Amino acid sequence: MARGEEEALEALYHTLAPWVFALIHRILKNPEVAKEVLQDTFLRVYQQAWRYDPKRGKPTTFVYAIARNLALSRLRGERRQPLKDPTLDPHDPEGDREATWGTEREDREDRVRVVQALEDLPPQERLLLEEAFYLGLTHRELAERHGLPLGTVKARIRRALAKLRGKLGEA
Amino acid sequence: MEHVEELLTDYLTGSLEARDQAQVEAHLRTCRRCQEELRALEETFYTLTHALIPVPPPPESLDRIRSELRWDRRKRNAIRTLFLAAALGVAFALGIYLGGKTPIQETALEKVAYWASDPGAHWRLLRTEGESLGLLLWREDGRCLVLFREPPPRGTVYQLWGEEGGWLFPLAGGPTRILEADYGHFRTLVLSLESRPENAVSGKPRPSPPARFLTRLNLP
Repeated sequence: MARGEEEALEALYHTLAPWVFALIHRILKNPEVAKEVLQDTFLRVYQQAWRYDPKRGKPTTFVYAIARNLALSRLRGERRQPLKDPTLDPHDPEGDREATWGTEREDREDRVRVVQALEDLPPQERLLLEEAFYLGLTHRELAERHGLPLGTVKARIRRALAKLRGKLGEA
Repeated sequence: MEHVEELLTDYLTGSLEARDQAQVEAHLRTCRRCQEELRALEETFYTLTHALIPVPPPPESLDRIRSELRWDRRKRNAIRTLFLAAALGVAFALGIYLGGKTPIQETALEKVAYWASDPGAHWRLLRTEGESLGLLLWREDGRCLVLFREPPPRGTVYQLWGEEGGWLFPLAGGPTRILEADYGHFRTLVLSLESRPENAVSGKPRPSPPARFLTRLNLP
């Protein structure tokens, strides 16, 4: 991949694009913009493939980080309320889930584990962690948003990550 | 060595002030223990992606990516040809000529040739007070090279900084006409003259602007 092999990029795309697209959608909630960011993500992955170091993390982390950063940059740049399309919002109980359910058994089991681990977190810890992840809010912004002391926000997010890490093992 | 584990969650969520972020990054370059801790935290953080239901991408997305890669290859080949001519011209202006080279000149020529032939390198001419200062080359991977037209004035060195939040973070410095550095996440680079060089590992941030400011460049 570091040699710019397009076949490797396509293999990565086929494996990860559904998750990447889900993440971008969750952040932007706008299908048209999400499509652009999906393309930008894999182009960026191709350009920066040589920076990936297996000792520093999994390839999924590398790709998801690029996708999240691009989506959050777009969200901040647009500075508008994202359009919500309930049929494509994975968290919307009214949405169409059947068409978007991963078919690989391992994917489903993985999702169940992660969802269960999140549901086991105290609601306040889970909410802060998810807002930090999906909205890209800093601790200070979260403190202002929820009327909490900065130290409380930091402590809750650290605890949430530590608990998740404990439940999921070394990710 | 003071470890930065307590700051890693803040670092991961982008909650650190620019100065603290730079110091954490400087520490992470050399500390295996904190690198491991960050790796584990990052992987946990990004598992939130797997709480989502996968969404099939639009069928045309892959075709568009392929098309962009082809266009990018053609564009870079054309720019590289133009850039190679410009960079070799700069190398000649630096006094690096074929035959009779010292080892330092040999190394410098190799470095310039390497950068000049890199299809992924971008470049921009640098100016200060209306005069030509040199050439900046940079890649998306975070590396950059500065070629100066003239050596620094006696008693001074060229210094390259990353600028963020009103602070300057040292990247590379020296009495030479070539500076190579890792610009990392910085999108604004500043060049100045200083009495002594500072590097990214041991140098300390300071408020911007520098006393002997040369030029500022915003990377696209």
